[in-house]
Amino acid sequence: MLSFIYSFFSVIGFGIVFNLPIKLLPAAALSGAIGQAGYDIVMHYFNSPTTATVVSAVIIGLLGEIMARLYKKPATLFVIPGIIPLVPGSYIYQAMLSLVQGNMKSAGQYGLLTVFLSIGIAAGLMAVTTFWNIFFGSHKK
Amino acid sequence: MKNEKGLTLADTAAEILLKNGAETRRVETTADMILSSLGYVSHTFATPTTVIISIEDGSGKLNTAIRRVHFRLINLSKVDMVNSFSRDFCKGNIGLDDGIKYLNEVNKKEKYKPLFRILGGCLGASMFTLLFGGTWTDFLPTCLIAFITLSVLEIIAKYQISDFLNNLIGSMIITVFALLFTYLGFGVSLNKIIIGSIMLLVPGVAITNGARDFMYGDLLSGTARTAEAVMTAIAIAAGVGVTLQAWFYIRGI
Repeated sequence: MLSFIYSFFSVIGFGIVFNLPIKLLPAAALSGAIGQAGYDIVMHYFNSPTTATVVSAVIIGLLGEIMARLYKKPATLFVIPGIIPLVPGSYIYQAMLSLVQGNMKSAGQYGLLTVFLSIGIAAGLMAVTTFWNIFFGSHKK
Repeated sequence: MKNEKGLTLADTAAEILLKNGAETRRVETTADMILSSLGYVSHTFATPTTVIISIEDGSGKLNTAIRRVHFRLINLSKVDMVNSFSRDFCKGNIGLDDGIKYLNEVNKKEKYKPLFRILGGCLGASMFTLLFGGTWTDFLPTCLIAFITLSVLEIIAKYQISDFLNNLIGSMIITVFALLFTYLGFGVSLNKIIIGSIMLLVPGVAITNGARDFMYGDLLSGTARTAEAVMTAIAIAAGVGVTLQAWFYIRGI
């Protein structure tokens, strides 16, 4: 529950850094926070960061498309700030820390996890965008 | 003359999108949509650093224009403005000259004041510290570090030095202050403070946009963006790593 609130405000913060129009901030933050909640739930039951990230990216992508419909704005505006909490910044740092301490094994582990997670984010988002366009065909006129 | 104006319009729109963090696919389709509404057959090629547009009018005359993009940042409100502009334009509500004028205005606009952006960054970073399991005692140090780092980067940005150096300096400042603050007892968890603060530099958008470009089949942009993300990550890692190493050496740990 706490992480819901934290990610809500962190998305607002990053939305401001990315110059997102103020009207759209709450919507983007909400989708980011719900995505984070999804992450926590999957993490709790399966304890796999990669799975949790993919699920969360799918949720954020879906919400982004829905909000894009509601606000009549491109989905990217909601998705880019929304996925920020998923970005594996902590793993990049952990990998570096291990490298500095000469612990190659855990450095490799964290580094690989970073790669997996970023592919996971992109795959989740892509899946949503592709199927959304197939089913709802927003670009056909 | 109409050819050139149409080309300028499409090129400016594409350039603004590319500069402000839109994915390659969006850049290309926007330019194509604008040009096809003007009645041209167009071919657009965009990478993170260039836009090339070639158009063919009814009489078979060819025109080509290239725009080079040197510095990219993320400004979603500009993406939004260009997007709604291209929609209006395709409906035929806006003339060519007015369109070019409008886009030039958009290009100059700065949406939020730097101070407001810095404060937004502070909020974002400190919430991350909490999200990653930091306590409220780490909240204030992270806020302060984010403020210092973003202010310095905002000043450096005026000199337009390379992204790599920017990130290196940023991550070094973050680590130095995080070490200093925890050493002085202001803030408890060093790791949580650093992780929260480096989220400001982490190339999240480049990573995702890069992977998206790949999956759309824009291989060149995908490679370029991924390389950009890797370079940024290396810069951050080097900044944090070197500073930590130096600190451990000085303290004799």
